[in-house]
Amino acid sequence: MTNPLKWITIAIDSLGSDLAAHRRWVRLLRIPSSNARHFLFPSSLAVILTGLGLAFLALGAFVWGWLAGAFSRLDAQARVILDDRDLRLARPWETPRQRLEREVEYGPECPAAPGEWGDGA
Amino acid sequence: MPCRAGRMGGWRVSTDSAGVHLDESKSRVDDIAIRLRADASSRRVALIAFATAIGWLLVGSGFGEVSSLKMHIPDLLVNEAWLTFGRVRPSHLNAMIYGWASLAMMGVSVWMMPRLLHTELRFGSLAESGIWFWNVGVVIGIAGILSGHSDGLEWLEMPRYIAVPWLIVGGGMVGVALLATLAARRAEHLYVSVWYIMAAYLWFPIIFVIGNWPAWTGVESAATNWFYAHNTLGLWLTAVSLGAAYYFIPKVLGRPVHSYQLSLLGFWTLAFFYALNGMHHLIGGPVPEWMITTSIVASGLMVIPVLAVGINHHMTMVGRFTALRYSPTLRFVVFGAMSYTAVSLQGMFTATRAVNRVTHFTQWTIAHAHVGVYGFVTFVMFGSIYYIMPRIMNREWPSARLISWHFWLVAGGLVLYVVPLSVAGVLQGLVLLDPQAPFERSVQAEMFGLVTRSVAGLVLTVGHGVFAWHFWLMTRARGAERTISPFHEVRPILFVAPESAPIAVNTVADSSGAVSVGRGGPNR
Repeated sequence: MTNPLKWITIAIDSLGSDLAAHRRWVRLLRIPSSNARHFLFPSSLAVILTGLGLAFLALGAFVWGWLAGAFSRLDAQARVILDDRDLRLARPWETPRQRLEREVEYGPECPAAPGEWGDGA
Repeated sequence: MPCRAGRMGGWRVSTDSAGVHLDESKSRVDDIAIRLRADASSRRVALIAFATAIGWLLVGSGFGEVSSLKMHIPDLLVNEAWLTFGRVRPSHLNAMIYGWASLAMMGVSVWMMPRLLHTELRFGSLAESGIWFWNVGVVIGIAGILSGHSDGLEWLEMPRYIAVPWLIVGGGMVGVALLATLAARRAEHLYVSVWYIMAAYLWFPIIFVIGNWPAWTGVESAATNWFYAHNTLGLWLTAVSLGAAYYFIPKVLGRPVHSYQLSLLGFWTLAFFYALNGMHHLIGGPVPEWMITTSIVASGLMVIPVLAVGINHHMTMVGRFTALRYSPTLRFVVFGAMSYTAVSLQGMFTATRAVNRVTHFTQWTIAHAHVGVYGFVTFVMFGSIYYIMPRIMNREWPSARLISWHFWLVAGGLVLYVVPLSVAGVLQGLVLLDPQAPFERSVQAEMFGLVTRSVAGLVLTVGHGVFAWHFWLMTRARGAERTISPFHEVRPILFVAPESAPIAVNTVADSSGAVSVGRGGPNR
């Protein structure tokens, strides 16, 4: 059977193998090989720095959110995805008590015509 | 307050020769118009993302099944180099992670963000181009792996210089479109899903570039490799999937999430603690001991976000689990959310030295990964697509029976996959720990799990075929006369397949906010 990927292999090889490209890039970028002699934390510096970077990114976002008021009025945030209709439509799976709670909290329940009860599924 | 009945989401609609009038205030009409414009702005991009993702789901399933069979039928398909295990198995992984899961998540993100931010998708064409770029990258990457050009690093097998740039550019395009949408938001509040999704699009390019950076060699390569692989799960796949779960569960139930404070706690603890988790994959390896210990501690700290999410989702659902019988979206998403809790707790224990000593290098890890990427991420994506597609196509899913088949096949297949393989993994590990036992005994100990996995893989593949077929019918407008979704009806469908649903015509508003007669409702 002819190898169906032969042409792909040839095409990729014609671009240069990944290993060869890797070597070219390493030379081009003058990337030093990681070596225990060079680093205080052998074999882990990249992970330490990137982990710290991600933590600082999160910290920066947290501070920005705090200053921008993203953590105020949390109740309103929780309801931002729901509109009046979402809250008032009768759900067939709810118990009478749950329906009553919904009515007390959000107003008279809207009868669910076929196809509109949950607005969701 | 009077109840405003009707398909317009509480809007009483009347028309006359001059046009349409809504008996509500202008601002609330604007709310509907904004949502419609948001949906319209993202529909094409999301549809392309979903369609291509499902294509990759089928491709990945095929590779996965062949890989699984090869584990207990080692002479199967060995005459062609591209069909050997070392190429087919990474092709399965890459097709599923970068093809299926990532593209489905991009579709969900692109659709959800304009809704959540009350604005239109910015740079939609850029996002669409990004989806195509990403697809080209995955095609080249998998072709490269099959033709023997793998980079040889777990989760990073795609050729670094030929395939990866396409992914970076493509993912960047989608990310820029979402960032621009965020910048142009009209919403006063940032819902927790926005935090999750936008964080994912900031985290992923960083870890992806770090993972693929050509400088790492030797042990450091192993460290950055697992830093990348585990963070892809936690800071990319998990983040977007949790963002989707936090949207769809309250939306379908019609009640806010149990504790919004808890949802924020879950997000920020994930953001702060997750990044160092990956090193627990190198327990016993030649990396500094403190580094492994740090990773184990970080894995333990995950108990905070996991319990925060688990408790929150459970308390939102509590007393309303009957809803799972009605809503396929809820059924898939809740299954996914439960899997998230399960896989995370399992992962915490697996990260400890005592457990890892047994489970390392065994099938346990494979089963664990499938609970995460499949039971959690894929199920949430299935549920999301079941919710989003009717809004994109303005049609309902044609068949409740196909949805039911899909759910039971993939849920049953997953259980059949995970349980025996986990047991087999533990038995395999125990034998491997015995220096007197020949290696063959470990293979014999795990064999039942390998065979069961192939059967389970077949079941899952059939389930994916059902889903893909149903998706195809949906896009071809089959069953279009059915204007009310089977699962919109006020009766359960999980155990009883309904008969034909009634046909109804209702009033909808188009993307510009104008109202016309047609299918579907604007407020869905």
